[in-house]
Amino acid sequence: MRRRALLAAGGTVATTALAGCSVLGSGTGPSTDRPCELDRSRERGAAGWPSLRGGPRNTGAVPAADAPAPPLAVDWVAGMSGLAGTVQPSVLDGVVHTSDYGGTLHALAADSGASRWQHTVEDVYPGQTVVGDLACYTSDAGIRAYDRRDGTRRWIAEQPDGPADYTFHPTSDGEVLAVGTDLGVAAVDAANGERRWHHRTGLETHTAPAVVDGVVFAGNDDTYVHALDATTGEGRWRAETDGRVRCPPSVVDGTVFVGSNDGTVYALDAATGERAWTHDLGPAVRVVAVTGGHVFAGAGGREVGPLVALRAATGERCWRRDVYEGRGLAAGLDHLWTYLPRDGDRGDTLGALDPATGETVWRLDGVEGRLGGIRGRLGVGVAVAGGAVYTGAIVDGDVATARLVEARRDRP
Amino acid sequence: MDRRASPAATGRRALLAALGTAVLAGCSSCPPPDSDEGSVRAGWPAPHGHPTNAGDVAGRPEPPDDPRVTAWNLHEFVDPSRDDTLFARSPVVGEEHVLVATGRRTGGSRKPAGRLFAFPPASDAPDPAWTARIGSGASAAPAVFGDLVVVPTFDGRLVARETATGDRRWERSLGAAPGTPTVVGDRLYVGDRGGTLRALSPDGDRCWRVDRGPLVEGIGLGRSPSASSKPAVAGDLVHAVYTREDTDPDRGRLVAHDRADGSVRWEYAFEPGNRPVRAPAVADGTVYLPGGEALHAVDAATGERRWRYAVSAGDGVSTPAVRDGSVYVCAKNVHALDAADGTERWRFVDEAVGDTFTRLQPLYAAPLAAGGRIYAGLGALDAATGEPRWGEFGNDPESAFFGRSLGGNLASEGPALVDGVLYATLRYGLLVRFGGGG
Repeated sequence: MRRRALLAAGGTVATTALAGCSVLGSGTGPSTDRPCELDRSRERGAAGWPSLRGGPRNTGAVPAADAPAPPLAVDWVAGMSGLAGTVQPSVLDGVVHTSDYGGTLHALAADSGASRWQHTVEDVYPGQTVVGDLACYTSDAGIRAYDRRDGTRRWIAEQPDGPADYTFHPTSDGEVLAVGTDLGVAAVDAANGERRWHHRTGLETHTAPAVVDGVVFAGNDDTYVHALDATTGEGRWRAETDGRVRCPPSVVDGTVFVGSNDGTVYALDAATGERAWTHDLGPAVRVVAVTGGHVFAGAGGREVGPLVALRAATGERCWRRDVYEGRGLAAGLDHLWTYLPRDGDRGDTLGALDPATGETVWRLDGVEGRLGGIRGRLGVGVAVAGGAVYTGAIVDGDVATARLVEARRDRP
Repeated sequence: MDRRASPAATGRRALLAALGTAVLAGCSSCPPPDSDEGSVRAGWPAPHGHPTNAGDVAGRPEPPDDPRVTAWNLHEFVDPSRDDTLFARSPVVGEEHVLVATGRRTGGSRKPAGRLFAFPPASDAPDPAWTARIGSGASAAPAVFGDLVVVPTFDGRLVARETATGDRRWERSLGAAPGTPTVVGDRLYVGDRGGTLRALSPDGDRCWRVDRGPLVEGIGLGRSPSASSKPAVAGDLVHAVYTREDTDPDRGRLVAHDRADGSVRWEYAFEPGNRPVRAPAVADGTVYLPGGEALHAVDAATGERRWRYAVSAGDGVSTPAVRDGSVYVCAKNVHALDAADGTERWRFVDEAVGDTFTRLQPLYAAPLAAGGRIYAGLGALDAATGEPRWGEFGNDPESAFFGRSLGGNLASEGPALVDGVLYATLRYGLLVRFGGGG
């Protein structure tokens, strides 16, 4: 009644402009997209995939010679007990290292999936890095390093002083093992686990740092990208964004490429932190991969989000596809490997894209039958090495690791 | 992304927008707005110290660097069989007493209730001078209005009691739980959870009211926003914050109302995050808005954003304290920012890591800023460097004051500073005094 009286009395009207601005981001539109011209002389990646984003530069790249060509078929599936969750494996020199995200570490022969050794421990977090002859895992007890050949424990780096614990996905350049903590970033000696430093920002580092040329680069929940001296932990620079930085930073040719939860991909000078360029995607940017003079970035939250290809020098976009499922990204000059939405059904499956155009060139179908059980599905992240794709999987409700290789006509 | 108020659209949208905001003419017994809003007042009439909410306490006497500490456990003064769990609000100080209101919106079988406690500030007397029941519990900290203390309650009332005796003077039913009022001269400004902002006289009579009403929400019916943050008053404007609980990313509005009649001067849209939005603060022509995961600096005259500092700590941002070109804000850690452009100057790291089984507590209560000291947590930091000077900052797992989980932290609207004595409350029902007594 009050409102009717208001209208009759001609009361003051205050309106607000509720028209939203597009969340699809700025930058070049579809009309200016054109295929990427990948520079084959700027191929990134190395043999093996020892840590979350490949190696200590976090390029997420695989050399074309080490990558398979689709179509792929499931080569083997190695089951582990445990229900906690799937882990993206590490691969180096013919051995796959992974865990069941609970209490057992596994080393598997890369060509057959046969167990080399396994080791039951207290809680282990999802993520390991292989450095030298060690496989390093974070856990409630700190960081534990195991001999790659037989699983003998070599050292433990205990949690930092105080309440902060190490988080996931350590990265190493062979000398320093850098890892996020609940309150910042820490580093231990890769040879013996001795603590080097703990740089506290007051908020969590959620994912893998990069370690390049004596500098640790880490994204933090305080919205900054931090560059810290790998030996002393002293701050070299920090770059502010508008959201949590939960994307592993990638460092290539003196530039740091990283995404933020503010929806932007940043290119920063690795020496000074100065911005070279930025590119708005819209949703939180989760991952970047760099090869062939291009940056591939995936964004999104709970739903499928955009995957884009940008020119590394300028940030200019080549293409955009709304296909990113949030489960990792591996970039080769000939194919991008990631999880793609299934046609029609819910869920996702492993697929390959043309890096020049973003077109889907292959998608794994019928995976449930091969993996067995109603709930057979592939899981989180991809490691691409030695002509194969390795990924976590769930088989008959159990945690597993799977390897996919080029399909042969005689292979079902 | 910021928005500006735009001319009315046509058609249905204009109609619904017209339903959304109403300004009703005031009554004639209402005193004109007081032109003097910034002066330092006796006592500590409301959280943040000023009608501007800027928490600037420079010039006031401060506790020494090794202050005497006294504490009162409010649980000792209630009958546990009759009173609900205490949830203490920030303290305020009138001429005679330090006043603590309690109350909590709870589920369960017990009817929620609260109390108002009055302690003599200067003595170590173990008992309150008086206490009074608050039927449904205090929905926010109260405000001192002349010789009265005005308490907002969960059942939608403002209850005014005499600060000296606790006797009830008047009561107004607003229809929705109010927030902490702001007192300026002979007027009281208060918002409520139904989206109404009011200006009241010393007798509780209405000078004006503005209903945001149900805001447009796509095609369906809208819901009323909440306006339960303490308003900030500076110059001829009252700044109030409105938030809705839907999923629209621009579901928060900072609105500048004319003090004389409540008419809207400008609006600023923002994303409030998932936590209750705290009071804005005004200093030097800028409104500082703790907007969920960022602190926004908005031009007080035009509503244009000047800068924004993303915090992303997950549990929200405090009302900042602003003085001398620096902005101090508690967002789990304590940040000092340059008021001109939001550049971070220093950061005090709080070691709480989300484990609710220890006494480590993130810092979210509003700080105060003096000349050389920032009062944050239960202590003082150096204003220039952020180095701790005395007290506790949520970093001690064996703390004598911070408790476990949410109730173990400070009341969010911060401490009171009067006559060189700092008063702070812990939510679980502890009043702590630094300095004074003896």
